Amino acid sequence: MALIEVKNVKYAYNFNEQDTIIAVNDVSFSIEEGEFVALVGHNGSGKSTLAKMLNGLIVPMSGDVLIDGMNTRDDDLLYDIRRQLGVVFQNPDNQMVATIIEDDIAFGPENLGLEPQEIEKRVDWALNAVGMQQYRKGMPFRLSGGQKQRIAIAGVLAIAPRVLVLDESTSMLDPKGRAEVLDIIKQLRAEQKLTVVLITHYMDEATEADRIIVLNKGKIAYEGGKEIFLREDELKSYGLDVPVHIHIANTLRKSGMDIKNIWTQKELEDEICRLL
Amino acid sequence: MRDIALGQYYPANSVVHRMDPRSKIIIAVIYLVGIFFINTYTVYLATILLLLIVVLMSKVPLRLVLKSVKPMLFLILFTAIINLFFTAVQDKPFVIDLYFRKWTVSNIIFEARWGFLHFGITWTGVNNALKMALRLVLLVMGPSLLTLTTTPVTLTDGVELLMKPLNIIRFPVHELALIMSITLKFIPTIMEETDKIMMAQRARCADFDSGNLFKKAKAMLPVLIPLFVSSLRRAEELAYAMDSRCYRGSKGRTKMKILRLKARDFLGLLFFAAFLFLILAIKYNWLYTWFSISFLSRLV
Amino acid sequence: MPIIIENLSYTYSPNTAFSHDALKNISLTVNDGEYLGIIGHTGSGKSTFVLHLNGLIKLTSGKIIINDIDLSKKYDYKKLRSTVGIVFQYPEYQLFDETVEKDIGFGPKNLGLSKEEISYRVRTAMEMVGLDYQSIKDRSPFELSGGQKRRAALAGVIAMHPKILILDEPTAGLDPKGKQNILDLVKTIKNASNATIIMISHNMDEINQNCSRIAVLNDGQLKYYMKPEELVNYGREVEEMGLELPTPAKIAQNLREQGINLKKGIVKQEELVDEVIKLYKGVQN
Repeated sequence: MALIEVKNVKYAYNFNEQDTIIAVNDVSFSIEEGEFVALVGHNGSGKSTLAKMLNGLIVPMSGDVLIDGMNTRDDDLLYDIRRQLGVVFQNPDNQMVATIIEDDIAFGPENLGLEPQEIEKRVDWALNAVGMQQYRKGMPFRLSGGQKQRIAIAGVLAIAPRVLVLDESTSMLDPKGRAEVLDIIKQLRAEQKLTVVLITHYMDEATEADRIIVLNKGKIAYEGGKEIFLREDELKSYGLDVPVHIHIANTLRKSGMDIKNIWTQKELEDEICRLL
Repeated sequence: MRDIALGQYYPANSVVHRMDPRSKIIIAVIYLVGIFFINTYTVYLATILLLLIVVLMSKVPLRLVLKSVKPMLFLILFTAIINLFFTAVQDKPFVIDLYFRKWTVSNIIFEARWGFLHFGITWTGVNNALKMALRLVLLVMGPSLLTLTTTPVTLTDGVELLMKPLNIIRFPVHELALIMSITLKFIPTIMEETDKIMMAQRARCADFDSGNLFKKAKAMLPVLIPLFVSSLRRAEELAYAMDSRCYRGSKGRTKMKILRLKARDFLGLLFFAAFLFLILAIKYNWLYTWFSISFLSRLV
Repeated sequence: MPIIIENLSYTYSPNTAFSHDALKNISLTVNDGEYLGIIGHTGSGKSTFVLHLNGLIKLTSGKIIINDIDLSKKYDYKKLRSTVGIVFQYPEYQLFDETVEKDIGFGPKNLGLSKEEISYRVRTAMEMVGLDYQSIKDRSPFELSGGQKRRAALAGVIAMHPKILILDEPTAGLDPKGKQNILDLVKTIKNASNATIIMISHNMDEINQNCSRIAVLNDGQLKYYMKPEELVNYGREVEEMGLELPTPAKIAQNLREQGINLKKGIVKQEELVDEVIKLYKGVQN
């Protein structure tokens, strides 16, 4: 059985009598341990709702979400589910509870009832993993957005989950902050083969993913590899965009140049050099 | 600048800084209680000396401690003046005793009558005013030294531990401590947001400065409402984040930082307990030994 | 009337331990009807600069003249703020009133306009941003979707009929479609009102879509002020400041370094594609 199983999940929001929005409409997918899956979709495609369903913050109206075999409907299992699957959210300011950074990172392990020395070790390790050791005794409000998100990630890592879900964690960051967060993910993947679910509306963040799931208006519109990058018009219809360099590659291809499948900007440049 | 040091903490590595917050809080309370029972200038002087020694030990610049009195200055002056002018005028001899010399003067320095009103400035009044002013100044400097040497986080930890016995009557100690911690964390965030919202509404020609009190209050609605709404949103997001990090109340929770009382804490507590005892003894003449009657009472 | 800025400097908390020179001697002129892009790392002074233009930050050093209003002398702040409108980041967080109509009308109301004028402005502003007047005007702004909220906030500033519209990262937090919609909307507004637009952004690709000139700020100083096609020739310097050239320009620069003979001044995707194809056809022959 896969680590994460989402089965025929449905969820709707009622704003008032007239407006019912079906956020998630019969979605199913599974994620194996060690995978890096990008969940991409336009704003309102249901991806944030799905993110909250993965750790039981929201329970589907129909269908099931199973984390390591545990059903999120079962209140008694939520604690254990959240030990396996950690979520980092979008707003860097609204995830911290303490004035001193090390105290905030300790929050998770403290909730787990660990011994003080173990908690210290975990705080150390988590801060190192995100490269923020020198800010250990500092205060969050002095940090940049990217740094705050790194602290938020550390706070989740300190629980030592098997899965790290990032719910649009880069949406509110400047390019530098985004790069910081994405670098951390790369590092964590390389060092620990952490299972990562990256939920985003930026297609260029999905280039490193093993698998891409595209959500459109509450339904899965695509599930597969990076070939989707080549189908620009389709992506546009889903409210998404291809990274600029891939768009350039696609256009060049259409004009007759035999550009091989490339995913990074460097690869494109190499291809152009090769052909000229 | 968000450097309005929350609780004006002054970072330094002193023995006072390193003391357990619980002992510091208790000492502060003992100190405050003691202040109210000081009745002689000698004891005031001794207390001032004691305070100065603690300030020295704490490595906090004296001017910072004195600065904390500033906001209270008006109140202190006001109280002193009230005492000066409105102490009942009694025509009796007033003894000024400076240990090595004594004067006896007429109590009244200046008096005036106006119908039923008889008021004036007397030496008793001056005495009262001075003592009241001293009391208030000392009162303010004590707690400020506490916040100068203890981070808000450490303070809340100390308060939480001190309140632990209340758990027996189901008092939500942990929840309260967590609320305090979260509040402290969000103060700069919310202040920043208030700034932003005010600027945005000012950009639309909102006027927060003119008009009477009522007008000004109404003008703040375009700031307060968005602030309120966003605070609710923050609360929800924070709750999600906390739940995601396995929060389930105080059940099974441990703490990374364990507060442990050390020798310096016991010494400090003992010292201040003795201090309080001495003050009370002097005030209520408890020690009927030759030492107190002859020596200390001569200082009164 | 252009915006004239001479030797603008600003220091936060002067004479304290926290004093910080946010702006150092900035001089530039913005012509009527220009679309100016301001780019710079976080903390480079972009917001501080822009806040001077509508008087939210008082001018302390230097000279600013906007539409003949000299900010170093006494001026009518209402006149200035109705001439220079600012849309802040995440403007939807400033909505407050009972109905969308009232919220958008807040600015005009503060200007002391007549009821008819306010109503007219609200209606036209809503139309301009694509919010249907009849169905939305009486709804609570908090009921709107995220995208609608942002448009409503934008309408609230447009209703003041500013001659100069400043937008601080108008696409922040939006998905690709949303971003493009807002950028198109700004263009529409510009064409309809011929306002001068000043847009702060972190994204060079966005700035290069529509801006006629780009001001690059670094540590409070104005480092570059030129057309996009000229700025791309300073790729190395821009990168050293922690910024990125628009992707097509970056690719062009890297290709040039590898010996490919691409012409200079490539900014947009289409230009790069055209030039590469040209060279390709050349190689084939």
